[in-house]
Amino acid sequence: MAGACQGEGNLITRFFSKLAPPVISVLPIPGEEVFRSNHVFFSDLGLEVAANPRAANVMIIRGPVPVNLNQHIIITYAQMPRPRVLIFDGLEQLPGLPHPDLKLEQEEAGYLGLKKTLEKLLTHPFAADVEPYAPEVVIKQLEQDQESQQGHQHHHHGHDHSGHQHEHEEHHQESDQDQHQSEHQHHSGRQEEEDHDHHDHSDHSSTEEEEHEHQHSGHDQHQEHEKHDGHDHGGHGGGMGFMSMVMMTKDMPRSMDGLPMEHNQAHFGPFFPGLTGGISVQMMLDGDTAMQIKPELHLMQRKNDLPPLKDMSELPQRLTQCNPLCPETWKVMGELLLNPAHELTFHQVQRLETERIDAHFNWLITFSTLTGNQWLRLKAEKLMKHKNYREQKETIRKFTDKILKFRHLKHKIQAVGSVPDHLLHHTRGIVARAAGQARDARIGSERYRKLGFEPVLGGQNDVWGRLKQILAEINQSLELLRRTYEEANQEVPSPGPVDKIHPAQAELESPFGLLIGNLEVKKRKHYKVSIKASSGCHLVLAGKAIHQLELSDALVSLASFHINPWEVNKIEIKNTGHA
Amino acid sequence: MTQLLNYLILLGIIFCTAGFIFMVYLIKKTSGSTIKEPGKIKPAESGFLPQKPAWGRYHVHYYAIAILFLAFDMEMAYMYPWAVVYKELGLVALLDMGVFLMILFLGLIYTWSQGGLKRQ
Repeated sequence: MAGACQGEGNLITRFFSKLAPPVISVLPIPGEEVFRSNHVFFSDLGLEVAANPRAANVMIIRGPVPVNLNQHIIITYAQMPRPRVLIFDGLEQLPGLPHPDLKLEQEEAGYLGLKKTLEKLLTHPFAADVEPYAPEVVIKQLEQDQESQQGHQHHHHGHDHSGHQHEHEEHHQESDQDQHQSEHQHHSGRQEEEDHDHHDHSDHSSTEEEEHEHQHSGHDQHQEHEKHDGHDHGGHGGGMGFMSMVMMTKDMPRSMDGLPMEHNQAHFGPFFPGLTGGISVQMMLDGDTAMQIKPELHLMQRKNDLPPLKDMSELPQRLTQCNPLCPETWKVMGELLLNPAHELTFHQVQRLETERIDAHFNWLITFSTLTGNQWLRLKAEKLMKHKNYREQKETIRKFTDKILKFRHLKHKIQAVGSVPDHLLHHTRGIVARAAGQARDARIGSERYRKLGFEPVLGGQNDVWGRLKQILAEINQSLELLRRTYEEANQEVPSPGPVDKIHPAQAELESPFGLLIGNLEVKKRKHYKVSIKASSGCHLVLAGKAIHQLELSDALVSLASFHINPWEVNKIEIKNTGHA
Repeated sequence: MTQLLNYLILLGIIFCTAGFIFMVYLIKKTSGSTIKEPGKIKPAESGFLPQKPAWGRYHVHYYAIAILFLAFDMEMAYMYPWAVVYKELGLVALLDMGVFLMILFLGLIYTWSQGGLKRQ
């Protein structure tokens, strides 16, 4: 075992380990949601899910893992206490991590005997020769920290400022880069709007204002750091023996009530259990108030880890691997791109709506973890495990009705996390519909029209409104499933793969918002498929909606945007051109 | 002699305690040694290593409520001696305490009206 403890153990430790089997606490990577969407429930396996790496003794990584997430996995593994077990599910190797103790093959059956295997491993956790795990990424950062601390000390003695300045410069560069990315995302969201909604953009002043505001948020932080820096420098200026508190705090950033206070930075995600695994934001905190939120948009970017397709007929299957949280929706997108002449079939509608319910239940479980509602978590998990939603339509309806009667929850989350009115036109999916905006790609679908589909619209642009919307859409999907059941049985099987591939564009309403697929023919037998979604835009908007909120409100608001981290970045797939 | 016996018992307890601690230490020592690893000296932050220590002058936004709680909690201290003589003084004691609590209650309402119970 790579994560064994140093030593050989003795009679007493063996006696105690046999007497009380270890509590197995699992840290699922990239998040529990990915496992749940593949119907792996740790509670069924007798395993606990750890809230953080310090409380975990098993790390299970389910592939695929985006390249940029790799160093965060390494850091998380390095922070787990020994003995620790490393399990790969559907992965061969990850650079920087030791060889896994166990390998699973992305099948539910593989998990059945997992608890016993882990107990066996953890009851004999000693090894004579154990090398300390010192990954390069951790050592490098510790060295940087040490350098900056030394710089800071020198600076305090009035000799050298370089280390501290270096840290600040780095930070500025980093914040500029993130700002650029979020701006880019913001623009892509607007482009999407222009391309697909034929929305009247005569009110340019508002969009300019948005950009202005967007750019300024970065500058504010810049100034804040300068002020902060100024404070540190000013604290010892002139070598005076005494300096009053007023002088010492004169350049510090001010809170809303005018008090001079320091701002702290903290990351929430990519492995924060209250948010979908993969979502990551950096928060600037004034005490417990989230002053500024910067989304880490690059973490789930996938480029080199998506090899080109040998055969274009593999496209639907490949797309399922690109998005473990809604593989069927992406598969349907692939099928539509290859057969652009064909309408959605009833079978496809069934798959889409089943996955929508799955995704909403999955979100409810994470949301209940964040709000600390154990009943909601257990109940949603039980319903999601059942799989056959049609049979339990009535149970689900009673469950959703009961949630709407939670007065305390309503009081806590209403009027929190509203998207500013001038940015509402960027929203899609449940965020838009909860605010009363009829934006749903299903409206344009002939098949959905035959089923009598009409979007459910709310009128509350806040967290409670979004929760109500999700519950209403679960019931709506159940009704659509009922209507498609008979139609699907009489339906002629969907057409097989086509011989010739044409340029195509398709739109689908995924559980997380709008999904736009584009197939381009570059040259003879060279194709490029790109998929973009509204999650990236929602992540940027969430940053705007949770400005100056108390931390728990900020996190609940962020979760309410129902963001799929696998859809935050645009995905591009090419083919080899040989087939 | 009894006093000496008491001291002997005390000494015995001290020896037993020290022996127990030593045993625990021995068990720990023989079972394995701690490995120093760089990842463990930093707090866990969702897959990131925090760049700056969290030791800072941060704003406690609920400070006004905390101070008010302390102020109103102090009234309990006056209720202990009052409870001791309550039976003796009877209704007068009840009225006296009623007036005292009412003044405090008015203070609370005044604080509320001034926005003192809001998060700063």
